[in-house]
Amino acid sequence: MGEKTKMIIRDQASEFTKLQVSPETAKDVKNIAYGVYSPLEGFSCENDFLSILTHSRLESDVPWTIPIVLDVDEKMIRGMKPGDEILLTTSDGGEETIIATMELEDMFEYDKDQYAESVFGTKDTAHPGVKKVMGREDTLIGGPIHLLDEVKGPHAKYNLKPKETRVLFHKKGWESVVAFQTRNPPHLGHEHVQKASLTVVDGLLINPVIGKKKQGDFLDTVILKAYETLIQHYYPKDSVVLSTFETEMHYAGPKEAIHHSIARKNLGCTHFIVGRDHAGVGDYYGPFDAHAIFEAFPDLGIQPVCFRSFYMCTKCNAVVSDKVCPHGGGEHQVNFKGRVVRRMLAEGKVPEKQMRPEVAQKIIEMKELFVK
Amino acid sequence: MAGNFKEVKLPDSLHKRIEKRLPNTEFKTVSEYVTFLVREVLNNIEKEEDDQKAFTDEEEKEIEERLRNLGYID
Repeated sequence: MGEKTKMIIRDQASEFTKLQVSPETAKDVKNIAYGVYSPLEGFSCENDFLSILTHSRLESDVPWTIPIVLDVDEKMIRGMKPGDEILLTTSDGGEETIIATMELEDMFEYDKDQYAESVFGTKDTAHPGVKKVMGREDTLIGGPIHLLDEVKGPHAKYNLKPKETRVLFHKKGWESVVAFQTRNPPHLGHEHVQKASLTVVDGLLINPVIGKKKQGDFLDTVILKAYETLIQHYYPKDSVVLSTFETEMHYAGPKEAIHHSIARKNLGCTHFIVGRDHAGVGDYYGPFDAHAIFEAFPDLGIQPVCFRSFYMCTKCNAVVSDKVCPHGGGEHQVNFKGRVVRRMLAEGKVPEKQMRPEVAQKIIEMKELFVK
Repeated sequence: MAGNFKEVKLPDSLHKRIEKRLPNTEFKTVSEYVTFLVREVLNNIEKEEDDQKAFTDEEEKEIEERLRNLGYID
């Protein structure tokens, strides 16, 4: 959409039906518009929605596991018909901003139980993803969107678009790039996995998820500062890029591992690291379910790099995985314990043998560490 | 919709060849196996086509400039 058209739409904004979307949905709008969610061009219509839930593929047969949906109060769209245009707006506590137009292509009711079962493998409302689905409005609308204005988050510097990462990788001469998804500051186990992967590819994209998370998760700023510090002290400058993936965590385990892979493929990555219980929560998924699911997607266009468990072995005196160390399960195995690291950092203590001291120190210096 | 199916004809000999391999795979039917293989092959072709969609010089320069300003390249 040209700048002139955008201006005309803004001038005539009062004549359009406006729909205010959450900051998280605004991130979906950006991801669709910039191609992070390619080949999507808008929010899911019913045909794609059902195809995703039933077959984990779009109607066009392209792999897709989590529908990108826009739910609305039915009253908001009463009287509207396919072909009508809507203005999507958002407000993050401040002024309302028009972010996109949406061509209304489909309006439909949906089965929330089917949605939950397909995406999360459970209808248990104690699961945060299921809880969110059950709290959604009963009507979904679908159709293509056109971005008018980008709402820049506090970490805009790190939010590279697919075109930018692709040019950047090309410029760096990287033909193979492995992406690492994270929602935590790095401990030594993360570093081991990243460096083991980097050994066999040209570059590493550290790609933390920035967006709404659950209570007790690390704040986005903490994750970014921790990685800045780690890269500064422990990574070759020309082998790593830090950039964010602005989205909300769904905690959909295996289905989300595929979703995350697709986004990284669109960023130009050739490989994607999948760890133990990727995007999991509680005990809803088996530790390696997110590895097994890749077998059903030979056409994903990105290779999973699957890691089982990794730990500190006091006998090997190194961070290892169960594949390379014979001392696992015994007295020499010291696991990386997220809860312990979290508690120590909150108490201002450096978790020795778990986290690089520079990284821990940087985190300790920060006032707020966790989502409240 | 992805749930609907169409028939495709395979040479008898190829069908037999695939059928023979089935016990060594996770696939239950020849159709499942062929679907998997065709998806894999199509993905490779589509990837090659995607790779050929290069940026215009002007577009690439603009992006490089932004990346330079952000400190991603020197």
